[in-house]
Amino acid sequence: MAQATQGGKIERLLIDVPGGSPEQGRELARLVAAGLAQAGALPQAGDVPRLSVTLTAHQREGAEGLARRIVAATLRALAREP
Amino acid sequence: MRRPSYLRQLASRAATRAGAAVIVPPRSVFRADGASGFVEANKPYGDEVPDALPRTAATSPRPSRGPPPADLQARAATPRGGRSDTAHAVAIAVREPNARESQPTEHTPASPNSTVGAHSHASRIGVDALTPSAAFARQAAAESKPTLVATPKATPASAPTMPPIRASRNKVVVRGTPASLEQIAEAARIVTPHPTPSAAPYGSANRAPGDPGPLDGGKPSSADSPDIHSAQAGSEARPSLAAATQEAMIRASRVDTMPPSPLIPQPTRPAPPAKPESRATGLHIGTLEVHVASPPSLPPQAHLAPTRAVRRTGGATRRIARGFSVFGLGQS
Repeated sequence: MAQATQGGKIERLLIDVPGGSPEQGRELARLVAAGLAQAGALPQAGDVPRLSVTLTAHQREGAEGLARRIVAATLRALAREP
Repeated sequence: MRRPSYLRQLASRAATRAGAAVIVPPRSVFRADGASGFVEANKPYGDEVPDALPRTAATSPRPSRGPPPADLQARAATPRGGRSDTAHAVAIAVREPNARESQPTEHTPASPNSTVGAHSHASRIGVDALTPSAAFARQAAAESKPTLVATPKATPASAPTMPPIRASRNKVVVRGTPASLEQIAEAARIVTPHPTPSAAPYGSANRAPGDPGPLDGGKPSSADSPDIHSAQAGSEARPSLAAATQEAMIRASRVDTMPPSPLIPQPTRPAPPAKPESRATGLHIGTLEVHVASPPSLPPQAHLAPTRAVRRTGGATRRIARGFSVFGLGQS
């Protein structure tokens, strides 16, 4: 469970990375949570029961780069939420 | 040699099984003849007379009232007559308390030697004070009423009637199906014999050392029937098989009627879902799903040079003229 600095709360974080190990998935989740916590574009309040983000991995892309792209996609999805 | 009757076989089997309402007293100390079996009390008196006995003794006149003659007293006390007499005495002994109340002054003391046979049988099932005169009076009553129904004294008048108890020489059998388990327990408590040693004298097993026996010349009283009362007291200390069965049935019914155990989880209403706290605190995301697709596979790369590919695809059939080929390709 990830928690944002502005009181945001994520109950459940699912990351589906094909071909990755569980350790890589945990590391990616930690980086995503940290990226969301440091992002300043989160809405102040809101209730999103379910938010889905889909992106394509790049060749020879590391976990940090993927985490940054995930955070960016999440912020865009949150901005689209009513 | 007579075969043992079906009743004897049934009693011997039922004695080893649980829940049987058949009580088999210990065998008598002496028997007139071992081959003659036993005579059931519900048969008319005199029906079964051993063949070895003289017929006149079996068909001798028996007065119904008045003081018994000496020969009848002796016959009631003898082992031969004691076989059927004892059977009657056994049957009567079950209702001894009532008979004693109705005839309190009937008892006359007699010599112990003349009644030791009858007493040896009667004491096994809780009968005492069977003097020849009392035995004769009960014998006469048995003649007028062949089938004897035992009515225990302890049973109140308002209580349900007891099933008929048929007494034989060696057995006291409760006939018929009782109406309830309480009746079975009551009957078993009344007529349950105590395991007294056969060699012990009459009344010595359950009698106090200072308590005189019934043959000591004293008037029979309720304290002189030790087996009936001590059987009731003993049955309280040692619950009989029927009582144990009754308790088991009661426990089973209680189990059926008991409320479900608290260990079993009771069906409860599902708890309402907790309200999300993010409404008041800020942003709340229930589930964030991130699906990362694998990068697209690389297209097949053309590693060969176009000139060579042309050559491969062209083949010898599409070869151009020699002169042009030398001129054209040789320049490139």
